[in-house]
Amino acid sequence: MALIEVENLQKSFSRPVRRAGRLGALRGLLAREYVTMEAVAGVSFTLEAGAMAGYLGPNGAGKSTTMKMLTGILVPSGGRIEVGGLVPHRQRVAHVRRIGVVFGQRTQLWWDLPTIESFELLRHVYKIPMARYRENLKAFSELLELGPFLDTPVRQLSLGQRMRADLAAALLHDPAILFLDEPTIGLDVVARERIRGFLSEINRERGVTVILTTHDLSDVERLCQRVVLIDHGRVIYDGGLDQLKTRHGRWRTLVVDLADASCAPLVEMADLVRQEGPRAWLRFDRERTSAAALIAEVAARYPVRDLTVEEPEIEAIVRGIYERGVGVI
Amino acid sequence: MIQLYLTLIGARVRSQMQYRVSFWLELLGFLLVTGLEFATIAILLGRFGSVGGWGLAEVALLYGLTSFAFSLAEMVGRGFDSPFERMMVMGAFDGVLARPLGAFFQVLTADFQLRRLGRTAQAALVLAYAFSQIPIVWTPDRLLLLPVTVLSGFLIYLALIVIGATFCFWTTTTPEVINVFTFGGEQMASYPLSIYQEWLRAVFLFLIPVGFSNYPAALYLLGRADPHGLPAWSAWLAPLAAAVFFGAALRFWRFGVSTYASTGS
Amino acid sequence: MDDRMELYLAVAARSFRRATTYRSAYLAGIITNAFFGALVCFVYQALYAGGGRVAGLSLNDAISYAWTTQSLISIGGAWIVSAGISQSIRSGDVITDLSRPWSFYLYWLSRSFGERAFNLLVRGALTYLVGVLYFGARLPAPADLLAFLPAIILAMQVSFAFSFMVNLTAFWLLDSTGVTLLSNVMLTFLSGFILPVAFFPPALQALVHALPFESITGLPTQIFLGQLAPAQIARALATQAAWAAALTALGLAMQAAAMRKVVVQGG
Repeated sequence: MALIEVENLQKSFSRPVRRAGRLGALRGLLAREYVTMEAVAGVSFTLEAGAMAGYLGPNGAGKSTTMKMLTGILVPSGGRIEVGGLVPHRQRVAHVRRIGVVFGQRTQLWWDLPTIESFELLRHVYKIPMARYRENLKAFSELLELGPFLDTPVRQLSLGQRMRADLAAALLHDPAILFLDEPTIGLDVVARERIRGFLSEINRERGVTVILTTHDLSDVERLCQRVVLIDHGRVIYDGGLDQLKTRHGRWRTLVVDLADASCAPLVEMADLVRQEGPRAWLRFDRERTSAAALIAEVAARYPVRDLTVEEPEIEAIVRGIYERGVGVI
Repeated sequence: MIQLYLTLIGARVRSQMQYRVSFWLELLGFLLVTGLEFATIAILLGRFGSVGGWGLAEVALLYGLTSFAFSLAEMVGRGFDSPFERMMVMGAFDGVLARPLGAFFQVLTADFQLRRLGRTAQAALVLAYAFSQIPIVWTPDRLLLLPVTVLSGFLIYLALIVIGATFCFWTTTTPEVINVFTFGGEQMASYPLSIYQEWLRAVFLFLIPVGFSNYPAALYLLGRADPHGLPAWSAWLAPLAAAVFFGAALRFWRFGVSTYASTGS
Repeated sequence: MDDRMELYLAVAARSFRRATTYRSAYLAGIITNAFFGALVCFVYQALYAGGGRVAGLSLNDAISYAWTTQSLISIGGAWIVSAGISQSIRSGDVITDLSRPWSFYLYWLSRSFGERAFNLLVRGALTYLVGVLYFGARLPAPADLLAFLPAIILAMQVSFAFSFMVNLTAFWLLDSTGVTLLSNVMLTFLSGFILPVAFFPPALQALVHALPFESITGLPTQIFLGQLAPAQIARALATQAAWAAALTALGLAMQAAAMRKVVVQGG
């Protein structure tokens, strides 16, 4: 049995409709109209223990709503969820004892207390044995470099420091699964890289299953073997990242550095999409042309100094899927 | 659980005590503000002499009992007020549900306002005044009735705070509604229950049992009879009323939590 | 007078329209005010069990008074409402507002007037209607209503100036909770909101007459209910106008001091 099983999961919200016009507000007092929004409209997937998966989708696609149902925060309107044999919203307390949760934009820590005191309180909340707590605190302090700000109140931490503190806080009780909602949002490149390194470390060394939503697809490229793409509350792709690339990324680019900057490399089997000085970008269809054939052709005609084949960017693939649908590309 | 409560509350109080001056000023402020509640009653009774046959000292007993209970509820339960409202607006209630503790317990520990002792002190002063003016024969049962009544009142007010807060699940912000329940209840109970119409008396005894925070106990302590036939022994029903009402508030709260819709998508 | 009258009118109109959109807020407000109005009436009915007049007021006078003051809560008649300014000070938006080509004071005054005009016409009127329908609160005579109009406008100016100053203390105090608490106590008690001033002992009445708070609630309420003779009305309006001018001047002086502090210390 898989660790996470989600079957035909649904969540709809009803929201009051605002009426326009000056008298709208007064009329609205008397009778309200509601509109039903289907945030998640029948999502199914399974996830094995030890995996690291990205749950992706544009804004409003239902990512966070799904995450909140998986973590027991929201009660689904329909469908079935089981995480490690528990139904999150029904066995909430038992379930959340075994998971860690980080919501990128808000902290789970006590706002006005020093960071270390928040950790101490969490030790009581999760009843973590003292020895284990010390061990974890030491390990995370080293990996995330928490030392310098352990005594600083959470409200005074920078965004990057706070995120590191939140990650440590979510893992102190040795959860089997870590849920991350936008863990790198608003962070600079260095902070982002540190967090990615930490995540792959705890996945590899501790076997923590990680499921994350993100806007930043470089997170996914760096971390996830598995991706689930959703849009309008439905799954539109579920599978390996590599397959996504090979199946949906038909276009590759050959980057050529020419010895002579004045000539434009024109070949029949590829399109010249960009040229800057001696460097040229040639886009080709992987299904009709092999890279080797193209390289041979270019090298035969033009003086070439260097060549590289660029993999398609995940960002472009995903954008393509959202724009044109899975079947088209 | 009690140990965890004390640990979490201890952290709160420590962080409040960092601002020592502001703490004492606010405590004093609450003493003054609530003092004016009683001053209002005293001014009215100074003009009118009595209300429903109760003089100032007797009304002071009523007011002191209910205000004392209310002060304890405010001290313990204000996590359900603005901290909870903030959680709902900022979406931090998600984090509450992501922890392995009851949501009720966590919101309860979101605040502990030691400065509300200002009201407790004021209520104690008013009670002291009442006891100094009224010759009560202190038998053991009467002595026992005092803490029983205050504790019941505390639970009833706490339940009111929780009920008011629960509406936040549907409207997000409702500080004013909380006021109807808590301050409204307290203001109502500051005067003898007998002055209200029958349906209101019924509401305040059997639906929202704030009346039990003082009126029957005052009858019992003063050896008075209720003009509408409420027996003095009903003072001993206060714990029952409090338990039932608090239980109902908890159920309502749990229902609210189950409909929690979070924010965003 | 500022020459950008149009701008302030537009600000007031926007604030009025915005107030109309918070319908659950004003519905809850009306219910709250009516609930407390009813409670006070029950107490008065018991206090007046013997009939007659107390301190010159009949039961109906007291009841009408209670409903009028409840109706004035949402325009600042009982405690400081609308903490927009202190929020903008805490968030730092105030710096931009102070440096805009307008009078900071008039900007907030127009915002407050727009919102309070709505509150008076909808929240206040509906609350009073409950009192009229269920407790026989008195409908004002046309002449009194006419005198009430300048009285309520002056009351809103005094109330605004006072809350403006309380809010501006946030420039100097780290935490203005204490000041707000204390100001609210004075406003609630010394304005005649909680009880008609006539019920107060003489010494307290003298104190109330010497302070500005009565101009916010007590005086307009008495005018509304026709409890004042024409000469008294004239004196009440003059008192209100004097306080409005004095507190506005004080408020502007405080604003200038705050401005200097911003310029020197950068907030």
